[in-house]
Amino acid sequence: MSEYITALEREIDSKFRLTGAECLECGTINYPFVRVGSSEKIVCRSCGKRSDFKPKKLSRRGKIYSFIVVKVAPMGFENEVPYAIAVVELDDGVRVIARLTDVTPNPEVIKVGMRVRAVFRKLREIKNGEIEYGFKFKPEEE
Amino acid sequence: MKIGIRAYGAYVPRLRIKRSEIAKSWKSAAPPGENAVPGMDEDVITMAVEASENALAHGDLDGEVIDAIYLASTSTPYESKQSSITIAEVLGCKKEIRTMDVKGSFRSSTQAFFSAMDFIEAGKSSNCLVVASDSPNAAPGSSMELNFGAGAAAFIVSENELISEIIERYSFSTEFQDTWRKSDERYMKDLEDPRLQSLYGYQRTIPEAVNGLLKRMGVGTENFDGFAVGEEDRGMLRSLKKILKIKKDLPSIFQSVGNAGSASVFLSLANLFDDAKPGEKILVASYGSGSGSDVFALVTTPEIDKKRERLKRVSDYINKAEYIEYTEYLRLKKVLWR
Repeated sequence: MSEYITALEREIDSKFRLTGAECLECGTINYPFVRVGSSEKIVCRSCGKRSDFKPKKLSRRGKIYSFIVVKVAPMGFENEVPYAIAVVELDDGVRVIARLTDVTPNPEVIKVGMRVRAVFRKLREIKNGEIEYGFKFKPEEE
Repeated sequence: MKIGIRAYGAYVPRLRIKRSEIAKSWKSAAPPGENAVPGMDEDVITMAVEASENALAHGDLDGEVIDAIYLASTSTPYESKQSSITIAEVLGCKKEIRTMDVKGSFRSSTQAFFSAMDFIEAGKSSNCLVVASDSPNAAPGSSMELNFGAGAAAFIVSENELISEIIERYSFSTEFQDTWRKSDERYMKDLEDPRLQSLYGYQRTIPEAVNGLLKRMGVGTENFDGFAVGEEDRGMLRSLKKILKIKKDLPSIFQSVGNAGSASVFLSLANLFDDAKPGEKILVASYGSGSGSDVFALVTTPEIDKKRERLKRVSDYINKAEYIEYTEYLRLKKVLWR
């Protein structure tokens, strides 16, 4: 089967709008989240129940909780090394994993606790020419 | 019924290349100034999203209030597949929205703007987002390569809470081809005769349009406090000042951003708005090969001061620059691969 990355309706909230799903069973905010089929339910990653949810727009700002610098990239990203991937703790407490951008990918520059903000960028382009978009984080301007 | 601009936002990529850096590689004369370059993960859509988000933030608005999105560009990532829909989804617009990619000319931005005005005038909409985002491509070593930059600017056209009202508009079109790109080609081309191009291109078309507007309004250029022009090259402002007998200094976006295609005229207007006081009259003129020009006159309102605290200025972006070398530039333009 050939690869495709078309953003499907059921995951577009997470990919395009940085929106999480608040589980109505246990209150955990799931990010990213995918609707079960075409239903209005998710499988909560915390309580494991197939539950109803409330969409929750996440904060666009946060700080770096942890990060790594990738020097040997997986297939499709060879042209981009070195680059940094971070766990970002958003101001509302939710942690997300995302690429860092507009910053020198060097531990001398990137620091744990550094303030960042979400920006909509190209994530990758696959062989058939489709472009995948989503969120990355860049250092917040003073 | 007053129609005008409710809010605006801009975006200029962080990466810059000095024109002297390009000229050095080709052993040609080095012109002053620099051009903005989209990063590896940027394109027309991502630049348009950031400019549009800034516009919504400036107006303290939610994506749901937008009834139509017009994306003006000559370099959308897809030739077929609408890019404005991606922008609508990211901004969280409603599904019942009119989306349109307006392409094929550097004046597509002002034409999209006029269409948005018509849409509101017809009573079909109350808030339209018009965003111009462009990163035109020139062949390595060509003279256009020294001029092309990138950027985006967005305006929310509306009837409510206007920071500026449109007074009058005018369009002029006549057959003349100075720059072009055929649909199966990657790079823009020109006549390779800058004097002929400017003489029969913008030096004729823009004054025709401006004079048509001024005649309709019964005023002269001395009645205006600011002029926003889609700059294409270094001599454009100087020659237009002379032809149109403009006394005022015209700030240049071209010097620090380059020719950002259809976004140039919007960036220039956004830059004027950043410092405009209420009651200022501004004349806006675009130019596109083909050729034609759209002009409109507007006046700023007291609302422009009230909204300024939520504003992200064009100069905020211009002042944040990271300079790259020519080989890195070619890599970002997908001429070289590593």
